[in-house]
Amino acid sequence: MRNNIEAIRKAHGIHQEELAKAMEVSRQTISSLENGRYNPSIVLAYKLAKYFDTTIEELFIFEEESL
Amino acid sequence: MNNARRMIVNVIWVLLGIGLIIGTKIGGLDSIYFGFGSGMAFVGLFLLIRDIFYKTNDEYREKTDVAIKDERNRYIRQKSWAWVGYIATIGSGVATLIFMVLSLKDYMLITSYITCFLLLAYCIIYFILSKKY
Repeated sequence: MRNNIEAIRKAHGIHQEELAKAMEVSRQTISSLENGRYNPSIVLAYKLAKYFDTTIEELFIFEEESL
Repeated sequence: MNNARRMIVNVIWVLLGIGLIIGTKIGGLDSIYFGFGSGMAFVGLFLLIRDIFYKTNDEYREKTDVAIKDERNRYIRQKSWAWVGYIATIGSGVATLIFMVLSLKDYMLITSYITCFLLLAYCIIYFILSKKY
């Protein structure tokens, strides 16, 4: 699933390490999320959206073909 | 299992290992138990040292907690175990066929029992989990 996490994170001037700490996950998880190798759980997706004060739909781009 | 309980278990492993080593030297146990005992004592000691380090070092504790609870790591662990299950089941099935072709009846029986056990275990676990979730 494509997402805008990297762009939004950089717009806020936050490093991956910092975001990982805030989300209580490893930096590798954030890296894998950003390059689309890993899809987060609904809980992590919600926490990310809340952290950036946005919605899950703004963060993640759901495409029918990606299923 | 919390850290204190893990430390107790590791101390038990070390003591059991030492007991086996002493048993082979004094009690006349078979020498193979020396190997078991050495392995148990060494692994128990290594894990005990790691648990003490976990208890005393805040940075290591935080890093370990994150690594264990991290959802991606959990996903990878589950996927890895699933693949081990696939490989074990298919492997034992293939081994059964090979032993059958080679007319090694005893080995074929053992691997066929293992295959059946793995398939049965899968069915039971699937049933239990389908009721739970």
